[in-house]
Amino acid sequence: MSGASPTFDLRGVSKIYQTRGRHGPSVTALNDISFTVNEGDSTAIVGESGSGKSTLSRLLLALEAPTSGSVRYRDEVISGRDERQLRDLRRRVQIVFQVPMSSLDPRMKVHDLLAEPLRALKIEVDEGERVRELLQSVEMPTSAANRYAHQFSGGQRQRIAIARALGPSPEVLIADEPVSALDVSVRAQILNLLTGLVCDYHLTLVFISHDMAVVRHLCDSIVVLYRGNLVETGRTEELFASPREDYTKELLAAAPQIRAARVARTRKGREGEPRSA
Amino acid sequence: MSLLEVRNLNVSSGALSLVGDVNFEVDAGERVGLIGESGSGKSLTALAIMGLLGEGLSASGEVRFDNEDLLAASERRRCELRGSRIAMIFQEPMSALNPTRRIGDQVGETLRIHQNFSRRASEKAAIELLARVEFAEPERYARMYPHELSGGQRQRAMIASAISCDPEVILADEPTTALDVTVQRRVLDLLDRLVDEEGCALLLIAHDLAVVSEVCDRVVTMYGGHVVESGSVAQIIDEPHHPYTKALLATSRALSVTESASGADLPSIPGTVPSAGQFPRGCPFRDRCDRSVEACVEMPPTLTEDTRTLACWNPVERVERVSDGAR
Repeated sequence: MSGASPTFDLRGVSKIYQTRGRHGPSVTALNDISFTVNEGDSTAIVGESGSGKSTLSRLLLALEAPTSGSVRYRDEVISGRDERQLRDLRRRVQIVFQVPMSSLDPRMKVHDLLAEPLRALKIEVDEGERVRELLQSVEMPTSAANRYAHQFSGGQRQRIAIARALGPSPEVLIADEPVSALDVSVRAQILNLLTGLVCDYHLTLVFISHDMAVVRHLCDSIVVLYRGNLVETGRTEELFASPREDYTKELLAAAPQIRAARVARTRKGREGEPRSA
Repeated sequence: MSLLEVRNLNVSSGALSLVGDVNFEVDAGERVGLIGESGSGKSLTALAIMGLLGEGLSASGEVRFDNEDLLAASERRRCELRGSRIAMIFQEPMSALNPTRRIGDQVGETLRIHQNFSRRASEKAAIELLARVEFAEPERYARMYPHELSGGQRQRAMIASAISCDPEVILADEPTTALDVTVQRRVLDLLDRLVDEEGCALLLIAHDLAVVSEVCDRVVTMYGGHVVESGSVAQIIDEPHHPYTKALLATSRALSVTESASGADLPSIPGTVPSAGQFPRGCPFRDRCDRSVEACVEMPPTLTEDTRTLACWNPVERVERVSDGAR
């Protein structure tokens, strides 16, 4: 990786939203964030509601510009560019959202859902052929093309959303909590699919999540956000082996784990005390 | 005799059977986890127990609460019990709370209805209840509307409402699924503590075996509207007998913060849960099961052995269970 410029390079990025007019109170969604996303890496942005992780995804997609600081994609500043200059970026960076039911138009058949980005970006391909290819890549039957999103289960809908994002052959896939609304078993299926796709298509993955277990399984490096501030960043295994910051430790401790006996569990202030019958 | 006994419970929509022959019980003070994927019939079972099935759905069989069959009881009698002796916490507090009424008003409502509290007394009680569910400024929050609260705060308000009349059993349907992980931890710990303090029973519905193993004494696994296995948490975690429970457990174990990525695929269950009416005949799990045999075209009988039940023609062998336990 020496010499190669990172896929994303954020330097001193802040995003402040003005509420209620120009002189109203302001909300700092992101405060002086700097990190890089390296090509071919899977990078997790970890944080909970209000951490600024979704604002960050909008900055990476150049849907919004930072209030200060810069966002670079392969050495080019993407913040503040007009749509014409961003045309290329729109193809290269794609996103998968948390709730496919609200990101997939219920009135469009799967064929059109998958073909729409190709048409919008004027990508010249055999539409039917490409749609079949995309469905196969997410392990869906090609017959799915003639049905509507609501006719599929939550996991299948998320596969459709992933196929739609893959359509323009992106270099980067941003996935915003793509599995948090899914059952554990379906979650595992989608994570396996993502792992395979990242490998097969040499994708750079930016995975936004609050679930440390999922992140540990999928990502090479981690950026932890808390209330708009960058708390900690590092390679996944190092960060799990020795988290430095209290908030990271709290995130790890909060995750539910399989335990064989409830009574043996230590609870704050009541260690070892058996439950009264 | 148990506090809550579900006997041959069936829920159907016209000719379509959604929940079939469900049997389990919850003892006084006991915590039972009902697990399974979405579409397994967990929520319908809970709604049938509460008598809150939607239009077009009907329940048959028995739901015995304190030796009284609720399915045979009048709606008036069910209203008396609902909220006072049997309480429910829903997954989506935003849709369970009334957006046009203040939090204090809603938390105190159960006391006004069931214990004839005056408006003033119920508001005072609501503030105390909000303090019990760890609101730092209960008076201020009592005056707020649901949309002014965060997801975790709304869920805590729901819990306050559920415990207001000292119920004997609380049904909680995925109470933490929609929450952030640290908020989920807080709500789970709170529920755990309150159920302990109240000494009430808990029926916790979850798709994540990890959550159930932390909070419950016993596990009931459902698939395709049927109970496929039940036993103590220790029994189920150490030695799952049903292939479905085993598969759920393997996924929960692999997807854990303490488990580093192995590079191999996560264990998962092939295929998806079919929609109602699309399950195969016989054992509902057989077309996704890696142990299915010829006999599975017939519905397996439910066998009871001490404190465990199992409905499977080809249960997980002892040898496999031991080798799996070694990991």
